[in-house]
Amino acid sequence: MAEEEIMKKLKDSVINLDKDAAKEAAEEALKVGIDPLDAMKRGLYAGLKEVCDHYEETVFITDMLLASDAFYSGAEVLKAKIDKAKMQKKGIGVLGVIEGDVHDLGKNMLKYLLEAEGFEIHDLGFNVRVGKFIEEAHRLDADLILVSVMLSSKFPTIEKIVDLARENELKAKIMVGGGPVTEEIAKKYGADGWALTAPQAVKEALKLVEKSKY
Amino acid sequence: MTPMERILGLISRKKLDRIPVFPFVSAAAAKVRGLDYGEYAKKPDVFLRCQIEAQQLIGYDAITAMPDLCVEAQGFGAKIIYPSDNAAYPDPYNPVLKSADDYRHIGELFSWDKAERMNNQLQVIRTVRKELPGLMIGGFTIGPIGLISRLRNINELVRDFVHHPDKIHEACEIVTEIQIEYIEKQLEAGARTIMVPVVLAEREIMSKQMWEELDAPYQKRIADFVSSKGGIYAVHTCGRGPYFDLLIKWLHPLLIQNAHLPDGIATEEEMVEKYSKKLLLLGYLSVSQLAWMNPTEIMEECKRQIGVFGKARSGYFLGASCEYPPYASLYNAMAVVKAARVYGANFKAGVGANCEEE
Repeated sequence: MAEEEIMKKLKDSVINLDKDAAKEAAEEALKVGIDPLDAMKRGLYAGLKEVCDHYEETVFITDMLLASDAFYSGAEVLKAKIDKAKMQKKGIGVLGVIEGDVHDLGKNMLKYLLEAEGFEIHDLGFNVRVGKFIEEAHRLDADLILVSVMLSSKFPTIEKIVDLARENELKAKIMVGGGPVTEEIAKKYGADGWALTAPQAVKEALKLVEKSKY
Repeated sequence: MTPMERILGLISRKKLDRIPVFPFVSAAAAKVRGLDYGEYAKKPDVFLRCQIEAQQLIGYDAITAMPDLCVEAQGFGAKIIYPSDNAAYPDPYNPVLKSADDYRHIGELFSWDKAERMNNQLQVIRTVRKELPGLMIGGFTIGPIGLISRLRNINELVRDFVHHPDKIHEACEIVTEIQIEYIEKQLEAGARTIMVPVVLAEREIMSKQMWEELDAPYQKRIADFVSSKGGIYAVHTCGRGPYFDLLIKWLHPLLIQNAHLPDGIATEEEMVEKYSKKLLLLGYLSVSQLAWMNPTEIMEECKRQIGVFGKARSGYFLGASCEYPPYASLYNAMAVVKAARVYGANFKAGVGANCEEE
């Protein structure tokens, strides 16, 4: 099968939310000698990006999760063969759901999308205490602290993370998101960035990492 | 007028002394006794007294019998965690439904004998009805998939929507019957309204087609049952782009409380124009406004909202678009009631405030 045809299969498998097809196409790509990093970028990731671009029009949370599953199913096959030296890391992020909150669907979605984009993401899970975000960001010299909040009662905790990060002079930019969080809330508590949806959060993360270089 | 007269008067389009108010004070009521939420949510007598005292202190028109969103989950064997500073939630490390194969056994998990929190809610309704007959108390059910989401890891549940819809249907069949029984008990206990969060019918969650296939048939059974018993069926939505068109088509709610504009609607005015002929609106004070504005600002915002929504043809309740933020000052709830008195006096559905008709 021609390279472009396999690339299309990889891309379509994600668009069609089909994790079995993604795995099969990834295996095929390796078999015919396609560079696995290329297969990941031009195949699987191109599909995921297309799904993201239509989020909220014709694509919903259910689709996003299944597209991510398909992406990962193919990526697992390709990853083992990727030359790590060739991989360009976009940045390091520490990600978690705020203390007292256990809603992790949005957080997981963001993790999948950021990893697919090329970020190294350290997932701290849910109900993450304020100090843990800071300790991990410090230990990893992270570029981003990504905080997911689904409970409005937890908004004031955003400020605690921001304050502690500043106190510890961390370089990491702080981004918040989650159902009830608005841009106004993010600003009020001093976060550097905010996004309404996971696909928008990826764009915002790229911007923040770019900004932090200067 | 009593709160009950005011609400029923709004529905039947009578002229009222003022617009009815529902700031949805639930966990925040613990503040009136300086309690933490855990204590408040665990003890029905404490919950009841806080609810009554908060209503009497602030003066709004309806209270809720719902301390949090996992009342029913406890009856199905979920271990409930009661944080001191937040709403209760089921233990996320140990979901009751561990695999999609567990859905079919969901009915075996439930018994009225161990459903302590549901029984407590019934007791709260009975007591309010007896002690304060002029006050509207709302009953509640979280709905079939809402309940299942408290028993199964949410990430897995979303995958099940696509990979195992048949198994979800099997569970919904069973759960819906139990919830209808629960609603019947609440109505018998004295609840006049049953509010159901229908949070999957939203643009950011799932497609219209998926909602109609997966959730709508069961929500409809609940809605039809409430209406058949003469109850007021109300829908709560809190995500972005709720599908008002489908909610009306399937469920015919008397009222919808929403936190965001409906799907396909660009402005508040458009929402009033398109939907207020078909249902009563409730809101539209956001959590952020209630948490951060000062009482003067809240009054100004209420004045603006009464101006926009007050002419809603079927009627409008001034209130919160979601639960009153537990960490917010209760002064703002007082400001909402004051705004209703000042800017919403002589109110009539379809006319608005300062109505001169008799």
